[in-house]
Amino acid sequence: MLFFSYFKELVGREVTVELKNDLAIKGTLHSVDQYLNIKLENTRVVDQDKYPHMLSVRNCFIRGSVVRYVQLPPEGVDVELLHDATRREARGG
Amino acid sequence: MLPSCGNGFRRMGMELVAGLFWCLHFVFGASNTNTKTIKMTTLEEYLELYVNSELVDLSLLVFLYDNTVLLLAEKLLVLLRDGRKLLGLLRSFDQFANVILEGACERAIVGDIYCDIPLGLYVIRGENVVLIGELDLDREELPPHMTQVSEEEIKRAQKVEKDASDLKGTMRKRMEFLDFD
Repeated sequence: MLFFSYFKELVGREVTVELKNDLAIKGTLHSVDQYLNIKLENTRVVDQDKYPHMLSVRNCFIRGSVVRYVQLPPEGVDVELLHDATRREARGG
Repeated sequence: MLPSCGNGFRRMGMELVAGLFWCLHFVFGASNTNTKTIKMTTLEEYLELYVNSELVDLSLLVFLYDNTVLLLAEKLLVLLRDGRKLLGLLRSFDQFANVILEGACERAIVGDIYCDIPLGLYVIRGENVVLIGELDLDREELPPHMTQVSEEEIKRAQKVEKDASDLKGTMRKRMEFLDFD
């Protein structure tokens, strides 16, 4: 549940989602759910020429199981907070 | 999720009326669906419109728990795990991302040519879904330099592409003993 709540904090930020099929999509994080499915708004594909069919897609839903990386804005990472949260999680409370 | 049909309408509780308000607002105020914008002021007007509505197929409305309503008539692009791209109207979905598309077609793209192969009604199992994209009707679907060709032509182009990549694979295999990167 840690990463779910973490991603919920990032809603509204600009992220790049890299999928397992090497498609990378940049967009504003609209919402995320327990499976880490992701909804992006104002999306654009990083390599537009290679994926012409994505040209008119503005908003999209990405299934959590196909995500390889989510690239976050540097200011969106509060290392101290994450440290504390992971330690708490590891202790089991 | 609550059922939505014309006859059951009178039996719906008052809490749904609030949702109804929202739904008509949604349907007629929505920006990127092909619906008109109609301004309503009273609840009666909303209900009147709801009952007499010919503009909206009520079976396409999904009432969500938080009183919001989804209109299942959007044109979608569904990317599958095998790389296929399906286009169609969203008719239903669930929490596994299982999707039903009406009037689905596959968009086959090879280089600068493409073809929309009609498929019909499609039920897609969620595990095969990579991405579901909402198509912006105001934007070009494909870059202008791409041309539409017939189904036979695209099949031929796909075969050529497949043969080329197969050949590349076998060449690599044969050269493996050379141990280069």
